[in-house]
Amino acid sequence: MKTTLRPALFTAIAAVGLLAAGCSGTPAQSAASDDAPLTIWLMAGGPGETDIIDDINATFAEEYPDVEVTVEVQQWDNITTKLTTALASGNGPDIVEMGNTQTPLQTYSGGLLDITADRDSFEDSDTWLEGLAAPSEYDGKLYAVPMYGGTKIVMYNKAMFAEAGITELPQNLDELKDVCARLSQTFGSTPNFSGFYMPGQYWFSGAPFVFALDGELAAEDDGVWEGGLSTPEAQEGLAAWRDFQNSCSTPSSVGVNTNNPDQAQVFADGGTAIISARGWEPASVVEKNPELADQLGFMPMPGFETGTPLPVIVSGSTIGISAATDNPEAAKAWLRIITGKEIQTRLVLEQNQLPITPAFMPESGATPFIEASVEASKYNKALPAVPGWATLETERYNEQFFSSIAAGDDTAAAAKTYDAHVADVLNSTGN
Amino acid sequence: MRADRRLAYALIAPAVLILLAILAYPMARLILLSFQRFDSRSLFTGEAPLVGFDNYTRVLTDPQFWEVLARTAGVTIVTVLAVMVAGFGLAQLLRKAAGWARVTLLVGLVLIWAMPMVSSAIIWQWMFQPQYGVMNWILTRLVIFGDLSAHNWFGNTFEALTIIIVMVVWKGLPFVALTLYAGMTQIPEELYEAAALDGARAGAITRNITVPMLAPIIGVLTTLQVIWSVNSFTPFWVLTQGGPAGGTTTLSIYAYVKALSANDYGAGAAISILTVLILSTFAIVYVRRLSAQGEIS
Repeated sequence: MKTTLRPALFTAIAAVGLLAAGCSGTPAQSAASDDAPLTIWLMAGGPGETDIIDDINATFAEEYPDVEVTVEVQQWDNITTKLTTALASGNGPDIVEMGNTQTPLQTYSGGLLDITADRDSFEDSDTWLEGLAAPSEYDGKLYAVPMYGGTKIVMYNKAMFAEAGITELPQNLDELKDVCARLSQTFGSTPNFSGFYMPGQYWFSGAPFVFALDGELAAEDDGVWEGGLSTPEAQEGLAAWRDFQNSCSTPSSVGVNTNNPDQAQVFADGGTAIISARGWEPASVVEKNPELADQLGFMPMPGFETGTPLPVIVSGSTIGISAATDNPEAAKAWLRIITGKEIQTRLVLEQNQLPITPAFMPESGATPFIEASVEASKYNKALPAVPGWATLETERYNEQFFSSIAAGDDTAAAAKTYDAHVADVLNSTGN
Repeated sequence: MRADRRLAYALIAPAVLILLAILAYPMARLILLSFQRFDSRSLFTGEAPLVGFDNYTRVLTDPQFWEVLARTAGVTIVTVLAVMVAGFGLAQLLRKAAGWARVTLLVGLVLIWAMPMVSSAIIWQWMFQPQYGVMNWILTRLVIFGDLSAHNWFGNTFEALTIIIVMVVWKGLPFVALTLYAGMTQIPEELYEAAALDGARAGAITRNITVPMLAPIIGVLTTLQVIWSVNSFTPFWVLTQGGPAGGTTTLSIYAYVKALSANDYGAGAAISILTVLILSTFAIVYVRRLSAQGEIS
């Protein structure tokens, strides 16, 4: 008896498990209606983490009092895969924020609602920044709207500059390297000190060295993408990147990115006097070390020649509506609020983001960060707006590549591998 | 007799149904997918034309696939050898250690086993972090290896692979050690006593008694470890994402990147099917050989 009872017991338990799974497997299909709730995915580092989002929702509630809004903040790691699968599931979020380089994959795939007809209903949509508007379109149709722009500029510690006797801001890369050397001399006793803390994986700062010399990461010729790092211009840029990273930043920064350790923390702790900062980082630094509140200075990243800063990659976010949403009208209304002048002005003033159109730039009260960003953005560069770019981001391919260059890998050999991989990836999706 | 049979089938039916639902159905879908052109757009339009063996030809003619396959084989051989040898050693230690030492060791092993893979991988990432990682600190303190205070372990393929393999072995060790230990406790003590009376040395006892007596368990464990190692994904993905420049990409990473990162789901499915084929061929050949030797009945 004992021998037959045990398997039977196991199968019974397993069968119960299966039944339970079967019950929860059927999604509740809610019919399209005017007060179907909205689920909104916003990205870390954006307005979703501040009280701006509460004000957006309050404005929205005046128009749609019965629509319940849930905002979920997502992390950037692996977001592309998560987004694609969430949109494809049909019961994912109603509204999604995307990085501008990740947008083409979604507009190509068809998971986003076509909002071409509503374009004019968005405030000042005819002057949207090209770098954000272009990826939002596919085949002449609009599937997303720009949400905010962002750029990286140099943030320095005025007190440390003064202590090192630096009275004039560096105007080109050579002067910047001199500044690094003087800072290292003055603060040499601080362990792991960097004059300019520059993580080797921070490719958003590495690529501009290539762009400044007219090099490209990838270029399209007659519909076919080719990697561009093997060109002499790009090779020179990569060598300059390594030289700068190695001369200004501590050796242990070669293999890391900005988040691990958090470069704002390194700056706040006095481990460096300069970083290449994103919009939210000044506030983050002050939160970690309030004494630095009056000591933050900003400027564009000096370039090879005096008077010409390194180009910046204008990045940013777009925001779109899931094609499977139950409440498209409410979703559009929500987008109109976040892309409207009132909220956009606050994003500039409170979050150091670039507005989606120059028309939204506040006339006064802009932070020093924004003033320097506007200056820096005069020399800007857009990344390829192509669905396959998202693959590189998931693999963290650029991060690892720029880190390997900083680590001393042969630039020609590494570029050859890079170019082959990039061509493979960019040509395989959506072409 | 007939009624007994019917009862037996009735009893086994739920298990078969469950297996069909959770294994056969996804497997069938995967096979179908591997014959379709399925990209991110197919997710929304449902349009995924059948393309015959196109995905397989593309994968098999891609030099990267063979590179990845060779790397996977290498990693698997090293991992399985290391985990079996170390596991056997630990099991012997468990058998011979004093009570308190055995308990400490057992608790340690169970804790390693109980820890979720992602958490372990993240902790390993911290330990080997170039700037504040404890490993660089310890190794620098030891002086032997020189100044490693800024060393980036994941910057080159060899070191990155070594760390990943050590981690996979570390994580797989408890299962192997505990299973072998359990097997050892079943070996009749008389055999050892007889061997001792005949004056056999420790090495000879291990070779002539312990290993042969454990052979069926070792066989099954090896098969399981090979499958486990080939399918190992989390440590690779968390620590390197298959980089630098694809240097630590194994079959599971390759399939994932193709399917879920490049959105070429058809090719991803083909890679997975090829992996299943390779693993089942290995398992069948291996198990047959064992049973031919009469070690598994």
